[in-house]
Amino acid sequence: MIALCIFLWSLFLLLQACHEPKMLRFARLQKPAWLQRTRALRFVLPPMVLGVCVAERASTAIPVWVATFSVAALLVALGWAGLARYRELLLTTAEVRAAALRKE
Amino acid sequence: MQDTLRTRMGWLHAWVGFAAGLLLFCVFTSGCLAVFDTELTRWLQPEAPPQTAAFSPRSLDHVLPAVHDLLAQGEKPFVTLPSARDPYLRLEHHDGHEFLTVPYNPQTGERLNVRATAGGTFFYDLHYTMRSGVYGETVVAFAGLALLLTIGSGIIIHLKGLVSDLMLLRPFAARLRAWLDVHVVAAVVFLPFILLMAYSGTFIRARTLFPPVSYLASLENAFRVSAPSAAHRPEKPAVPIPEAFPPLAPLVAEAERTIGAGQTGYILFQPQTILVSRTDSSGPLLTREHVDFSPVDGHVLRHVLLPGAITHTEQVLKGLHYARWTGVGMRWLYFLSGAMGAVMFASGSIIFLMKRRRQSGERIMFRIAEGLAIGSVVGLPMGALAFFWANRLLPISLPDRPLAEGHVFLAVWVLSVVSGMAWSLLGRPLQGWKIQLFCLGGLGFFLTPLDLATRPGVAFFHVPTVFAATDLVALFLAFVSFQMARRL
Repeated sequence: MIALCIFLWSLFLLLQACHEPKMLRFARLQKPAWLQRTRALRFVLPPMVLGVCVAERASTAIPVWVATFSVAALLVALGWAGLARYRELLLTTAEVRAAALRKE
Repeated sequence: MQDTLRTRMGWLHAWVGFAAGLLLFCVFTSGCLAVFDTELTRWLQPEAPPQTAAFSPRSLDHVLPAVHDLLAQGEKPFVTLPSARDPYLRLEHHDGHEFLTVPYNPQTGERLNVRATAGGTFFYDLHYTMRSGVYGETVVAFAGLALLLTIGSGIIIHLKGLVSDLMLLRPFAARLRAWLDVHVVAAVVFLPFILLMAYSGTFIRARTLFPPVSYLASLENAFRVSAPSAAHRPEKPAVPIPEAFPPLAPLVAEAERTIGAGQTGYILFQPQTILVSRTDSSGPLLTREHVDFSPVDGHVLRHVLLPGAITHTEQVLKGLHYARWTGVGMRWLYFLSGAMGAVMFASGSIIFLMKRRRQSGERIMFRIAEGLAIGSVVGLPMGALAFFWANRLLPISLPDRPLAEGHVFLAVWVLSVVSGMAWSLLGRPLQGWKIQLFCLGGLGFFLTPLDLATRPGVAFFHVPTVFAATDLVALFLAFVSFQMARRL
């Protein structure tokens, strides 16, 4: 159940990150065109996670809901940092290659 | 206006945060270890077999002679029943610092031959008293208040970028930027947990902050209690102890008729009563409901369940703070959140020093502050790992073994502070950080080989989870330490 909650939160936070211009700039990404179609999903996911937590055990739903959010946010932050680094290296390599080709 | 408020809050956040942060780092680190106190006790007593037979209530009677002995010594022994978390029957008592435990076979009641250890509750005592009794408890309670202040000022400082910077982590940016990101991500993302822990922890220790007698008398009392470092000497009971206790199985069955089947957690023995209490794992409401029996003939004396809204509020906050109701998954979430709280304090302290190094790096106070930061941020985890090493390397027949483990922990921690301070005062703090990080990495990395070499009956392809998890966390800590030392 905790794994499912973390997965759903990660999905929500990924969509949230795709909406943040600062995050997109950091990862050198363009705002994807399909993002508009996922607006509803973005708002549905948090209550859906809460529903999963309540269904599992109502008395402990809120702590589990909040704790899984924190872990998912940490995972997305780490993943996004990795993606940004990968894209930075990719673009730097491409620029170096282009410069080398221009010289030739 | 807003800028002024932010600037003022920045000052408050930095100074209060640094002053209390080094202590709070220790509180959070020991707290996240204390979440797994029972599991760590199992790691620290490797002789106990990983698999045990099913619990038989008749086995309880085999523990009674040992209970009688402890009562005669003036202790307050209690028996913890087997659970999904811990398969043994355990006889425990508090020695003034931690709960010393002796495991018993849950089916036969036979005492298991294991080494004496301070166990995982060592970190529990460290968490809320810093092993300094009431005096330490007061200091930690005030640090909790400082934490609430730091959180409030931190929220005001970071209000503008609270959502946009929520997951912005740039580890490959400039050093100060990278540390700031680590600090913000750890603090903002885990803010609900940190706030809950700060509030509930301070609430639980409210009696220390607002004593029923005057502050002066309370402080005087605190010093009087914590000053002598002599061993804990329990008072002899004034009431005579019964020669023989009634069989415990019918008492447990009777209690379960009131508090629910399978809800019994532990049995506390006092000269005048036997308390059969509800398990802490039954839910976040830590009621500690109990049924009391006569120790002479076993008849029911009373059923105690405290009512009232204020009591329930206290029970919920205690339940959420102690996290004894949690399963394995939630326990790991608590552990991770506590670890991220510690990362928040460590990164905050490092940022504080980095920002002031150019202007005040030569000042003696700055050097002392950096020495203390080294001793706290690296020294405490080193001490904790040394505690695990001591558990496996100290002779099993050593008298006062639990105390010796604690002394090793303290010695390594003090050595780390002294060494950090020396390097800092010599004007080479980076050297101090690096050496200690490498030492920490070494202690963590070699814990697995040590575990494999000193655990009786170890089989490489059948590693019980508690051992594997402890070793893997130590390995991960070693990896992070080596990486940090390399990148300094």
